[in-house]
Amino acid sequence: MTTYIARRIAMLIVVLIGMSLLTFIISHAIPGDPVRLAAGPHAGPEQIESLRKQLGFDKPLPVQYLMYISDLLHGDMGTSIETRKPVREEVLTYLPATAELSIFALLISVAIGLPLGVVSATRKNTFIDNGGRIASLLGASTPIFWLGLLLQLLFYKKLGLLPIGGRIGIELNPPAHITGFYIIDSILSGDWLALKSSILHLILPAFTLGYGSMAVFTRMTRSSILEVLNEDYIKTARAKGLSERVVIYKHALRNAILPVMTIIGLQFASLLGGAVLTETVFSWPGIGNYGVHAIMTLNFPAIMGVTLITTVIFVIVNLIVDISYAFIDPRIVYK
Amino acid sequence: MKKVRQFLVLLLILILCVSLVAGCAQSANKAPTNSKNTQENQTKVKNPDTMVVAYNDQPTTLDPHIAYDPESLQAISQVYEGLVTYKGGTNEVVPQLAERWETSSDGKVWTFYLKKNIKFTDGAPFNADAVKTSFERLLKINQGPAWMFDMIKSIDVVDEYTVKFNLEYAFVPFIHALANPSGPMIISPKAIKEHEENGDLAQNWLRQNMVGTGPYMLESWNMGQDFTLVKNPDYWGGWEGKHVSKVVYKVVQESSSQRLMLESGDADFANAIPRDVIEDLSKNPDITVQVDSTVNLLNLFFNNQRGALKDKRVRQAMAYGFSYDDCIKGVFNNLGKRMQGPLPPGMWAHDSTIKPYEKDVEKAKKLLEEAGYPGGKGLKFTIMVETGSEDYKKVAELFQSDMKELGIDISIQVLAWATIKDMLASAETAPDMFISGFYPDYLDPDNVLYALYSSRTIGSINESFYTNPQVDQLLEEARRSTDLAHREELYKRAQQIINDDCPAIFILVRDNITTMRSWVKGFVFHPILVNRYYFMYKE
Repeated sequence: MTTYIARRIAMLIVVLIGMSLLTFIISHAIPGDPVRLAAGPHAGPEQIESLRKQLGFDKPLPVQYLMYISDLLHGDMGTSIETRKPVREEVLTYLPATAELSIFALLISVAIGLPLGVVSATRKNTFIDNGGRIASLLGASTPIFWLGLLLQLLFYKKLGLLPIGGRIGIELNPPAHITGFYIIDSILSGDWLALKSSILHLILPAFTLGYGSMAVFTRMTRSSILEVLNEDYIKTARAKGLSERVVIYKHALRNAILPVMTIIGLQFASLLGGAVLTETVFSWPGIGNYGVHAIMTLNFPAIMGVTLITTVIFVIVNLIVDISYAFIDPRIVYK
Repeated sequence: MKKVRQFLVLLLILILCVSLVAGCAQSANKAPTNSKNTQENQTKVKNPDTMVVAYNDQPTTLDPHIAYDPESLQAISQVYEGLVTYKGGTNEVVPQLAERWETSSDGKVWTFYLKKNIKFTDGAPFNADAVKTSFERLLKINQGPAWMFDMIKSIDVVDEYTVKFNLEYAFVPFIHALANPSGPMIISPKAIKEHEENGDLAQNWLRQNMVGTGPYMLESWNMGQDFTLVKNPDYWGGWEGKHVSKVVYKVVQESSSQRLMLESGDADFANAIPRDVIEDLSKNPDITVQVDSTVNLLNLFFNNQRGALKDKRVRQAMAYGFSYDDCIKGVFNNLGKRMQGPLPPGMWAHDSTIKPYEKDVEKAKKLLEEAGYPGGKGLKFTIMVETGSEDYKKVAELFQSDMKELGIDISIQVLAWATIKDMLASAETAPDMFISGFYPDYLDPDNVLYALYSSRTIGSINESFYTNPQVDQLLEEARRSTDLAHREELYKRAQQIINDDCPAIFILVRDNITTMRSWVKGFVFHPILVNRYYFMYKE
């Protein structure tokens, strides 16, 4: 197992180099001059060149790339062309917000989607199953943007129960920065007001983001369990006189969960990438928004930073999913 | 198992109901906003000591010598001050940190007598040294707004409270440049010195810290979320009378969310309310919608050095072919005024005798024929529009359809502004035409005419590559002349020539829409200055 993990991590380095080169080439191939934009509308050629030199964009592209990689190895992700702040600092500010949102979205979608899938399978073609089917269809087809706006209208404007957006109320200071996850940081620093506000601020965006994944999990769990329920060992379990709950949750679900696990891993990664719409609707200061803004302004270092960090997360999440197979299914052994 | 099932049934019903109920909520939203809640809001001011501003973006930098975007200037203008400023709602330049000023007869030396007993928020005294340090920093960094002051040759400290600016040449609009909010702000020299790293003039530190003499100081900046300013208790202007102690800029990108916050009273100002909901919103007695004239121009620039577009008759024909009224009414909901020549109406020296181009298809066709393109024969152009600018795209579509009537084939290309800006670096690479907004930095014709139509600004802001030696001469003379009547005359002549040369289609001056809670008092719109919350309160 250790060798397997080490090999996968070594692969990650190769993937990162490939990804950085690809992103570098693509972002520089797009016609456009972000330095001219950053220098201001009235900047003359002299001012533009001076800023270009200051940002290191006056050198040939291969040199720029090598310098970038060399800086990256020292933990420096470059300087944002727009704000002139270190990209690493900006990424580390925005990433925890998206990670917190995605994790909660995933928790909500798994917590609702999995049991709903199980019940839909065990109560096939009943009211619950049909209801689950409609909920899944809505989840798969409702645009995030629209859902978010509707939830804001209902829970903020009509009911006044939940905040409209942001990570924390403006009357409060964010909890002391430890992990960047407001919920964890407020617990660690004992700031209960911040904790309450953070949780309230998370509910709507997390549900909005997780609703689509919930539909996927429900359908996947349902079909996977239905498949397993026809297996001989389920018949044996029932013949032994085991209760239906034990049959479903101990025997059927455990065997049916593997494909769902794969989907959970993939969904988490896509939640991270797909959070941009939710972030926009709920003014969530996340990496998705940051990345889109970087693309619009051709902010190369920021584009590179977001791409690399997303790649790392994607690869690591997949690795975790692969490893978790071994724990769920003892037949799987990594050599 | 039964309980779990019941729970799931309930959960399912809840999920199904969310969309339906929320849909109802949407229709309820369309109802007149005279609900009980609204009435309560009308009488009870939320957060009476805090001004909450819903803003769709955040500052890029807090360094007043680099910042050149509206979001940054919003924040900077509450914390930093300049020597002079505009009197609220007028074109009149009045003292701010200076007590008075005088100009030498040749217009090259400007002496400012400073106010005394003013301190920066870090305790450093405000004096002539601080002014010199700040301006030298601005010029040395030489970014964003620095171009406005490139005529400064040297700055002399005459005594502790007197400072002298020596200019390379007489530059009459200098006082207007000093009144604009981007660039001429005075930073604490102590902060610059203490936070300098490797000769960066504290650029790194001042990017996210502020030390000014203004009424507010920075409390916190949570990236991507909010930006909070609190009152500077030692502000030289004092805190007598009605003011707010705190100003919070909350980043709210989505305009519908901004509207909801404004309606519920969680925001006092919202900056990105779309034009099409303004009428609906103005029916709400708790919300004030104020429409003001601005100097925010919208032009369709031609590449004046490209093929057939070099011929002014072709450009004029296109200007005569454009449906101005349809554009203002259809695209901008009548929230704008027709341009009359290249200068916005209302700006000093604007020539109101100029006859603007009106739609006249016959005249346009005749001009095309004279130019050797009967029926628009062979004329094919590409117009570029910035990604995300839906208004500009609609204008381009209207232009495309108008030009079809003249037989001119127009294709529209939507690209990122960074890409268009790169192409605009030279006439060879620049597009045939593009639509662009322009907001002057200060209220002097020099800032519009010299910037956009002098051949000396080709390569920077003259992106139509228009050049006319006669116009160059008039504009050069006008910026140096100390005789006001003569300047006015020169600008009027320049406007007539530029209008006739038609380097662009002068479309409209867009109105500014301020949407705020009715409990906000003391708001005065100024076309150049950003909102100054010190002068406002909630009641």
